Amino acid sequence: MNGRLQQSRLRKLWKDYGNIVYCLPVILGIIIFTLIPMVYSLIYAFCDYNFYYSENQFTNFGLQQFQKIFGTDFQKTIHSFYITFRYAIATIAIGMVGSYAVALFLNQKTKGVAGFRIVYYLPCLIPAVAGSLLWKNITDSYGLFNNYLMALGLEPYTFYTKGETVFPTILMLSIWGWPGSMIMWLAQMKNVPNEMYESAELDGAGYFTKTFKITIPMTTSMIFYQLIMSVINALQVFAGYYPLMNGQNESELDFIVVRIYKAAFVNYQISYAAALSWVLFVVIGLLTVCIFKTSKWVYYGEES
Amino acid sequence: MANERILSHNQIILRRRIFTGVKYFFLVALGIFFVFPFLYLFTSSFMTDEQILNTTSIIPKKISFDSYKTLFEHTELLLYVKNTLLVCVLNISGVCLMSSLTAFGLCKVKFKGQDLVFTLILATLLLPGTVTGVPLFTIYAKLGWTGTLFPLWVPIWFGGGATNIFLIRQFMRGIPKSYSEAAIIDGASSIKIYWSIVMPLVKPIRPFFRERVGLCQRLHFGNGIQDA
Repeated sequence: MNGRLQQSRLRKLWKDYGNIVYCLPVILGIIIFTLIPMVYSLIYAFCDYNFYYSENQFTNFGLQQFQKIFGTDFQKTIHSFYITFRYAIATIAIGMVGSYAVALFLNQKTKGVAGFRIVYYLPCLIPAVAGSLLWKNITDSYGLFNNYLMALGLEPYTFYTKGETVFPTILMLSIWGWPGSMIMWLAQMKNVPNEMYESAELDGAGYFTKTFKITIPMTTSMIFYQLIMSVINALQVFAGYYPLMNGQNESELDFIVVRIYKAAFVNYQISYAAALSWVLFVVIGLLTVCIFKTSKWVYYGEES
Repeated sequence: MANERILSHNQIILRRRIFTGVKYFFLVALGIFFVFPFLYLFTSSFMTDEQILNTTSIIPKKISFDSYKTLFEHTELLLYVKNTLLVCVLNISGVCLMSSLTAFGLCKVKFKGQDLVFTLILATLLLPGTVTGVPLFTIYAKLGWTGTLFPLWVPIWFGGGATNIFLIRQFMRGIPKSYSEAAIIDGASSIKIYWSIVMPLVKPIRPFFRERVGLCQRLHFGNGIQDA
């Protein structure tokens, strides 16, 4: 009698929890490659972790790293946040509007849409580092753009080389990032039912009315998703801009993650880097929560 | 009637033509902006250094293969290509297999705590790479994986990345439940449902992943590891 009870209990356990086997690799991966490093990183942030010693690596437990970030290095921290936020706000604003506009154009019965789509997807194929090095080559002191300018008799423009002109250059070249989101806008715009446009036309709606009153409200779920992903990614930008640093424009390219990378892998101040990463995490988390809390304007359609 | 503007037939045609013209101009200009660096990259590989510094044209006047000679003689190109191909193949197969398995487990079968697992997977998206990056580097150093290719594909084989899982799951939710229910009636186990029913239906999205994963080379992190 007892054996049968145990057997059915095991069966019930398997029925309830058994299918977790499918997710075991992910769970294991998250534990090994995310949770454990997170715990370690938290420990590093609250002590002085010495990378060189093989013993006695953790000394001096306390808040001194955070005191350094918000105390002695406060100017530098504020400067990093300023550079990153300025970049994020400008790029997200220009990028979302620009990519949405291009997607609107491509959504119509334009001739050669397929060709345009292929051409527009090309920038996505280059990894960030290669793309930025490519543009650095073109905009260099003796690169193609400056050769054109000098042939026209104008002064050569210091695109990335001098600090003051770095930000306008970044803005100009942020167009390179549009195709990624443009593909998603196109996919979402295809989901808007055609009957809405037809009934709007019957009521006498022009192009702009149709766009602002039908297309944009129906794609707000994708707008919301893009907004969150853009914020999270823009605040962590690093790979595209680290190779561009030379001596003169360092203060303009001083993003937060660049600072973390330099602290960790150039100066080997692991604890400082860990503490700064956690500050960044808190900032991103707060921003995301704010965006979620104010997301009443999103329309989800049939999705749950 | 007061809000309507009545235009003559010619005005309507003119408006439409102007609009189309502006639209095409804009699209073509953007297209040139996107294509031009690739073109320049391709053609400048055939120019000598002096030509690159001096000319204003994209088309080279004299074709020279100097840079290709240097590439094949002075760098270990074959080794780089072999490494890249290896990492690519491992990553793509890893993502396709692991993410689809996980997404299947999250949406086509049931177990207690499913929502918790999904929330956990999504939460890892919020994490900046740097929070885990620094300790991961020390873990790899202790494991002796610096300077090797292991860190580039082993994390992928443990689940395949949260974004990929999320995307495949959304795709799988579009597959009607009746398919798996019919298979269960015929006596299929869940893994048979995965392999014979869901995976073939997920095929349309696979090229998307192949291309996406194949190009995410994780350069900066790889550099950090190789430098050590």
